[in-house]
Amino acid sequence: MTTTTGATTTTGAFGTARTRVEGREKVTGAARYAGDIPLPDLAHGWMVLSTVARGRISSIESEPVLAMPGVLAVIHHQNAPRVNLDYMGMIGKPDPILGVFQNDRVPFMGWPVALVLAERPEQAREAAEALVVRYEQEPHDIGFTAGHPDMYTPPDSPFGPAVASKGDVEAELAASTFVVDSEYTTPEEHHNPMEPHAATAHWDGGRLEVFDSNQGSMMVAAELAQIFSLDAESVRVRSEHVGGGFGSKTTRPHQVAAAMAATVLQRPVRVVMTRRQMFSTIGYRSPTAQRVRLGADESGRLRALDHRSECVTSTVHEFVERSASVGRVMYDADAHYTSDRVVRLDVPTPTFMRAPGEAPGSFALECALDELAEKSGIDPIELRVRNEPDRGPVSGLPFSSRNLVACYEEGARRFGWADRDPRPGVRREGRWLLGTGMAAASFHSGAGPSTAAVTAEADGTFTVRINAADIGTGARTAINLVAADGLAVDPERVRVVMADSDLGPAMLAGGSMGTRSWAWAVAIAVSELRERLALGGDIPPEGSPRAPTPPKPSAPSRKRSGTPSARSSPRWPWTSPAERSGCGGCSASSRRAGSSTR
Amino acid sequence: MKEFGYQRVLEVSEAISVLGADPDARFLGGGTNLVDLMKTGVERPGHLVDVTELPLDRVEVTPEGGLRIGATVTNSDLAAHPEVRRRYPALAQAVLAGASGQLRNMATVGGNLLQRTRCGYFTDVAGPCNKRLPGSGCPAIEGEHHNHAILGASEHCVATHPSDMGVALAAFDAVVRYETADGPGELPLADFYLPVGDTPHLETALPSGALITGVTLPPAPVAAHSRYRKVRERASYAFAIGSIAAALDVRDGVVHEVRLAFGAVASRPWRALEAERALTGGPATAEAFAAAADAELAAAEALPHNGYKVPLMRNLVVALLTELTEEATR
Repeated sequence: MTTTTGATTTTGAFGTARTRVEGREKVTGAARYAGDIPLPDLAHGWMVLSTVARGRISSIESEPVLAMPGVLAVIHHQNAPRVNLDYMGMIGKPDPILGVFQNDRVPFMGWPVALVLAERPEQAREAAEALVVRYEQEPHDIGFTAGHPDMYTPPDSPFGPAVASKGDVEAELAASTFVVDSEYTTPEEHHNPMEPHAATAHWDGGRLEVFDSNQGSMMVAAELAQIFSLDAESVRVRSEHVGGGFGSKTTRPHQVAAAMAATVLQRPVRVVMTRRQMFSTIGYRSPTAQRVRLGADESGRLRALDHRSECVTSTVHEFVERSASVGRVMYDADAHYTSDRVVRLDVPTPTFMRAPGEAPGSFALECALDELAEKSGIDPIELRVRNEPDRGPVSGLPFSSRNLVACYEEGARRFGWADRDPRPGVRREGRWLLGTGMAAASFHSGAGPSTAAVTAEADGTFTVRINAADIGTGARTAINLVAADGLAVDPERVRVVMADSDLGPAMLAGGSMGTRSWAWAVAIAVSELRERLALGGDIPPEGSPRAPTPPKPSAPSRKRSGTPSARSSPRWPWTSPAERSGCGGCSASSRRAGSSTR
Repeated sequence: MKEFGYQRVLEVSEAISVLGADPDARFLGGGTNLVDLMKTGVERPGHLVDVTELPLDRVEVTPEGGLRIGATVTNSDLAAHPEVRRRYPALAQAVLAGASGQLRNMATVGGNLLQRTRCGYFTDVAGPCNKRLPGSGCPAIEGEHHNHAILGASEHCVATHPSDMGVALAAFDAVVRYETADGPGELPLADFYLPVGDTPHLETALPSGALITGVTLPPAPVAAHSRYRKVRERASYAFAIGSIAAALDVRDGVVHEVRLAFGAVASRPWRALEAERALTGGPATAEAFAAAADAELAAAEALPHNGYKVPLMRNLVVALLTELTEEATR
């Protein structure tokens, strides 16, 4: 049997409105999420979180709980298997909260102190809520305030330096015609997705297998292997459907607790977080206190841009909400000073949440620009255009692309900016007061290496395999369309298999880089397959390679005699994409992903 | 979550006898509130008596021109009923303003009246709450209370009743019908919810073991020209921060009859009788509406973070009555 990819020509599927590939499954409830996977002999774990903000666990009274109906075990710091946290993960050093039940320290309210295991989730919950944990409380400080005495400048990170400066800000401010000096605060924000964090772990033929809800199965598998000192090949993590992530669905205590319990009980264990538990265990965005000082000359040209932001982290792990760095690529000024400082308090550890840094930082900086526009009488767009840099304002490096001024022009045209009445509260349409305003923002534009495989099946369909995660973004559908366009076939003929660490390394769904990174790898694999088929590669009657034996991460190239399939495979591991102090701009550098094909 | 028994009953008498025999049993309607509270441990019944199959699922026009609504009528069916929409449009609007389509398909009229406050301290079993644990204290007064009561609260509890439906029922003088082992009884909605006082854990005047069988709406021609408006922090699927049911009969620029009830301001749907008195027989003008709202809200006692509700309710009164006046005179 011979199949040619040009048999059904459908071009331009990408960019058109398409129904989500798994949409029907999701709306009918047929889609199975991590907390839905049925496994025989499944036990259920319920996390118990600390009720004090700082101290030590003095006792855990598990005996009465063990006598409750269905209760199988209580895991806590006195009986838990030891784990390893001495490693560097995909997004840095592990948050110590992953070392569940390793010691008696309680660094904040809502720290995991025990896991109660029972036959049924209701029994586990009842027992977990009945478990008496006693603490030796210690004085705590949970109050984030601007200028907290313990505020410090953190060391530079892969995401950029904590402080960047150019010129003499104070001198330029003193010489400025117009000066804005304003303080802005943003509250802490929690990115609890619709689907709570959930993991179902079991040992399957000597491998630890976890059905999980995450933004990158490779990342979670690699970390679980480190944590439990296993070979990378001994861990498989899948997350076929994910009900939202927003930066919170990385490696979190529930996967570690489930895997630990599955090992202790030697049976499958599921741990599902309650929404309430998520507030202290999955990260959040730090509150910020920011001060922005802008100095401009008569024409509105900036002489000084000074943006200092403060945020909070926990006492056990440093995460810095890098709010001040946004100005480093946004506006030219004779002098620049931007700093992100942080204070360690007895609070849960923040993490990456939806444009970490850019979101609160842009808010403050753009408000200050608007205040400067008001003060100087210059139109807010014109003010920004006058301060548009032609290269990195601090780094001096060229932008790969930028186009911000063109965005202003198009936006102004569409909103009728020129004819607007800038006074607030004057335009009413029915019950609504309407106003106009503008703001600019910057986000790094990178990509991570990914591997993909595509197989021509005997029945004329194609299977794409890539360890991508569809966290609700529609990535599965996008990959389907990229592959269909590349193969010039109807999207109905393309099947996408994804979100499985056994499919090999791939970028995680984060930093707005997932689909972009995966699409490169898929496009290259597809293109290579087309070349092979064009050269006369036939598909044998048995067609597809065996789906149940997907490639091992260590063996990215899979060629079966007579079965045309192509795989693109880049370097690994992925390194930090964000080079904001460098050439990162409004749409700046994109590292080539999936560029080397073996 | 505590283990519990479950039983479905088909007759009212059976429901009452089962509940009477087991002090740990509770009636289960749509379960949209009770089951949530069971999961968090606020409610811990040993036995659930499912009453949704009882023959109480009809909406009937009474000979006088009012409505008899069965206790197990779902919120969705109530809102969709043509006689509800025609005779008491504010009731249909209020029901549709609440919850989501899925919840309204489950939730019942009886359950809606008996739903519990959404005060975060009430639902947090780790902390004190006078409603949940009498005598333990009320953290809301010093804490998070931006959506708490401004009317009829006490130093022991400032929680609000979350129902939208109940606000419209209060405006239209609804009467709650119930059944006990001793026979049937009735309670006007005005007497159904108890004052907060120092017993916030005692919420209704229903006799022990009683089953709500339905609600009667007396005829009210004024209700045909009525409206419900709800203010909330997002456009759907949120509880009110302030709501209002209003019916108005204006003749020659004079208020002939008016009904007003407020939601999200008190431990019960709040009938604004002071405002009604101030308006009746007076001019249907924005100034009069504002003065009437002020008369009602004179008793308001705001906490540091819910004072916005006073002007909010005042503006709602003026806006909604102005709309109804303009429509009537058009």
